[in-house]
Amino acid sequence: MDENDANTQAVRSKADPARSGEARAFQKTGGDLLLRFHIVDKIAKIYDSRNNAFQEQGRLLFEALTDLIEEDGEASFRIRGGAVLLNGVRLRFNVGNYAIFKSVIEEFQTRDVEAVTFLPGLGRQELLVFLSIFAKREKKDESSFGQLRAELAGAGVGHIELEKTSSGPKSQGIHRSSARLFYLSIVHLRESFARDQLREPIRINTTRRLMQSIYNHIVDDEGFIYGLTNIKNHDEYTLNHSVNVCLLATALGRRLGLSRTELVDLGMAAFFHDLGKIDTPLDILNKPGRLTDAERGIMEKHPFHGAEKLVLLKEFRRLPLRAIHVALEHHIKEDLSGYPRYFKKDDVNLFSKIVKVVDVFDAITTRRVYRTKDFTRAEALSLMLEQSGTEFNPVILKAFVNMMGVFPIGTLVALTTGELGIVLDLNPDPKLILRPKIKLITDAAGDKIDGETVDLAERDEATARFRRTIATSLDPSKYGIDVADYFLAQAA
Amino acid sequence: MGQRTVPDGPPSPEPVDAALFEGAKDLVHTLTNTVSAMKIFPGEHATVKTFVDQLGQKFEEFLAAHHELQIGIEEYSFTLGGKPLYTDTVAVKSLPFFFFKDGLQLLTFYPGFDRREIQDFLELIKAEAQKPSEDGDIVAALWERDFPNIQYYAPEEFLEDRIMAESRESRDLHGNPVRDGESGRETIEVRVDASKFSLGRIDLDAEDRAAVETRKSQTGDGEAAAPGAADGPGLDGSSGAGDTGRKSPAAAMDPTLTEAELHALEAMVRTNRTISAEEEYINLMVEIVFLEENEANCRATLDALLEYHFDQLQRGNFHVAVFIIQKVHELGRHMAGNPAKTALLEEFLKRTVSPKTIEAVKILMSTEKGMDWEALLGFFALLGPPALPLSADLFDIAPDGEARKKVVALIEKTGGAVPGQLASLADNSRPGLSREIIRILAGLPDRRGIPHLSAFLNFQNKAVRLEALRVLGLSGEVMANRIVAGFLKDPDEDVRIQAALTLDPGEGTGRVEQVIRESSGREFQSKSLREKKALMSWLGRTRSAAALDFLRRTLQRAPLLGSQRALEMRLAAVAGLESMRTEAALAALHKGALGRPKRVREACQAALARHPSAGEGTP
Repeated sequence: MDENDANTQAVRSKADPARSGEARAFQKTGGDLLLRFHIVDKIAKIYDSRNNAFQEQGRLLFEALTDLIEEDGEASFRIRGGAVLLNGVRLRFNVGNYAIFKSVIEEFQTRDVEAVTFLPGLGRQELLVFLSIFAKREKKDESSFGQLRAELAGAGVGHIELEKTSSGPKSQGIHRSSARLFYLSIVHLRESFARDQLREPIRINTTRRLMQSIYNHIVDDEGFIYGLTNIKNHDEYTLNHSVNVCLLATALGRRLGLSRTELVDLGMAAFFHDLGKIDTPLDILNKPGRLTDAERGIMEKHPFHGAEKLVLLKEFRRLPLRAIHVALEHHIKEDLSGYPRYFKKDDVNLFSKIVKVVDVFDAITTRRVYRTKDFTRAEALSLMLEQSGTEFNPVILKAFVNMMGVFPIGTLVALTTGELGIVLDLNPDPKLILRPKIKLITDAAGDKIDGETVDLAERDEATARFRRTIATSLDPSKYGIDVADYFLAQAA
Repeated sequence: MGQRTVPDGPPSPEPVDAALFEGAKDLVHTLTNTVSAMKIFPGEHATVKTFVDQLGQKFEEFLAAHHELQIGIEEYSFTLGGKPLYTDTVAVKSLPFFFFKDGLQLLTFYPGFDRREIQDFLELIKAEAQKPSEDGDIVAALWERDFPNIQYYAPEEFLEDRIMAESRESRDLHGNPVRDGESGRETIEVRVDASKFSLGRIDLDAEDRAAVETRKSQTGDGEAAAPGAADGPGLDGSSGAGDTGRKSPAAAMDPTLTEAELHALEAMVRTNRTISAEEEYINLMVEIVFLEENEANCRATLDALLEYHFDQLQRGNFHVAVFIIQKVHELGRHMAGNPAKTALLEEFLKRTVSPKTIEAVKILMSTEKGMDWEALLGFFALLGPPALPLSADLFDIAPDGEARKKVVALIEKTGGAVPGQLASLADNSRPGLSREIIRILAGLPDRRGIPHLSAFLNFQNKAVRLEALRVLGLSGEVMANRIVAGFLKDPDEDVRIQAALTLDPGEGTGRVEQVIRESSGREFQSKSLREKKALMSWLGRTRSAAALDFLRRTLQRAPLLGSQRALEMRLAAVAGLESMRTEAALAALHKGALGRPKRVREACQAALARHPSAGEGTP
């Protein structure tokens, strides 16, 4: 190793964080317990308590719980702030088990349960009884928590305590709050761009608070946030686009298991990724036809102009470093083609890869004067998958498809019943990825309605058949539908 | 834990249990006192530790009894159930105000809020309080820290008001003020005409209708689902529900990540966390410099990198400073064909050698942070000869011992190639360094440092001049001897004497004649006996005929009314003949040992006594 390498190693090694083996082990225990709980819960919804699979999975869960109770004195799952805590320790999810976490959180929230605590003395049969009752109590109403508790008490479940959530269910208030946050983001970004043009300091503290708020909303209102990214303002394309990219990047980063601090950094990086376009003439940005070589040359300078702007900001020290990466690299492809071309660096930062995926997705699903067609969300995903490995990191792209679903939120779909609907939310169960929640916008005859929201995973109780199935996705622009309106209506 | 976006809102005034209220009041007072103490004393101070212990005890007891503590935050007060627990109206020190100004309205503490978490919470408050007002934000800090047993509420309206106010302020500043009649508080309102959702029809076109019909025929009226069965693509034997009508990779793909893909993602996230931020930044900056074609912009970017460089030096991160220089060198080599950019890069490298470097090191040393001398000296070594003056400054501030030795070694290594520059580091105010410079110059290979020792001829510090003389004397070089000869004119007698004693006798006849000539002058006559002896000794060591003749004549010159000066000349001649050690010289001494005056006679006798044998060599 020559001196240069040695010094490089010195620079790198100081950044290496230490991780506690105990903490990792606890995270694994927690993740396994949650998985077992999820499995048993799902089985319990379908089978009765005598079923072999239910009994076996229940036994495994019981053994795992007992081990933890012996060690810690109790095993307590608590939902707080969109997170799952086990005995007071926040359990971290990753892209692999995110669906499980989300599913368990929803199960708790649906039942108005904030915490379930398993106490010493818990019996296996007692646990199975609890699971049976818990799983089957699905519908949410005002009295559901009280009824659940009463039913458990009546069944002799004495070593399991439930706590009610101290806040109410998600209400229209949160959608309104999310929509306002979306537009506030545009206001703030507009102001930031304007201040940058005038060489005045950008208000990074406010941006940081905004990113934290975006994170909070993604935790509490993820589906609706995805829906908001259907808003496309063609007059303020760069601003609107930057906000959409910020929301989607933060959501994707969260799925990938990034920490809160990392997510704020990612959000800020995505927020400012197109800052360089301030200096790109509008007649080039909005040119309807093909760009000349000279125009393309100017256009392709916006990444490093953006990076340079960020470097030269007075507030640079308070900006995440990765914001520069993203500004510079978001047009560099996975195979390192694209632009700009580095002289030495032979990799692209993780944040840049994340932003690249969501940037392209939002861009090609937005009608632009220079594009003869904009793609539906489903088409966009398919098109991007064809470029997996060359343009996009294949694993990140797949995680994004996983996040958005085959029928992303905001997709206009036709159902086998003849109804049309808009995808409002995804099914948290990956196996039911083709069965999202749909808002009906026409009846079977084609008349427009302000219809109910239906769950395509719902089955007819008598026949066990799915009530509705997606037949095909549609291009909303063909039918004059502004999908964003349906989301904003929930916030109005 | 953190902020809920579905607000509970501030607590509605309810009758509060008196014991609970008093307990909370006491706890809050202890909290504020602890925060105040931490502003004055360092964390390890006994007063702070006592306060923290008390606070921990009180929290433990309170939460065990009451299960949570929810404090309302008003502008200058903490409240419980709407009643003030604590008030401080002096904004600059008021803890309630400190929280309130960033939008905090509620703080809730839960069981499990232990000593460690309390300490972290207090440190967080202290850190935010110390930041400039535009940097600090307690709500943002609480969010990032994500305490497991603290929940807070800061309404979204605070952020909204801030964003709208900032936007308004910017518009006002640039001549686009809010118009008359517009409300003072702008807000965002979302309005959608939902009535249009129920108006009209949507008739699918032929293509879409066909797709629907095709799918219907595949599934019938509804899909039969085996209990627990999924209908993801390929999992139930079909191509998957929801045929989009096109062969769609997204629809056909199972988006569940495989184990290998999960591991790959985890590895990416892990790598992202372990990459050095400094390395990343520097690599990026170098790439930006590479890409930028505009000279002014390039210069501005390099200025930013330079500022970062000095900032890293101040933090003691010399390895980072080294890395910067290495990367810039690398870029310079790559851009050898671009003279304009190369010039900018060279200018950058020159600017890294700046008094600011030493300032940074001094600041670092004043903070009592452990100095990584290895890294620092590695950095200086990389800077090369241009950093020699800085290295000299480093000598002054390095503590005695190992550190200073290393600095000297660095100077030796770096300055070896540029002895002239090395010599210029010597300074009258740095005798220690100057002595080291002399040693280094004398020891350079091929004696290439010797000529540069002439720089010490005019040195004010006598000890340094003497040292230079000593070293020159050991050299044996002709050039060294010439420099020694220069010291014969030194203003200090001791130095002149030393020079005379050091001067090589093989100088040549010119010097002999010069000394003989000068010896009859007033200046020579006014020299001290010691000095005369030293000069005459040199003459003697030359063993030249002219020297012998002069010394013999001088010894034999015995004026009737002999002056002190004449006596001293004769005594000096004795010393010269003694040094000569030839038969002729001895013979002259023998003769003198029989003459007058007594002092001369005794001097000759003593000289003869010191040389029991005579006749070594002949003139």
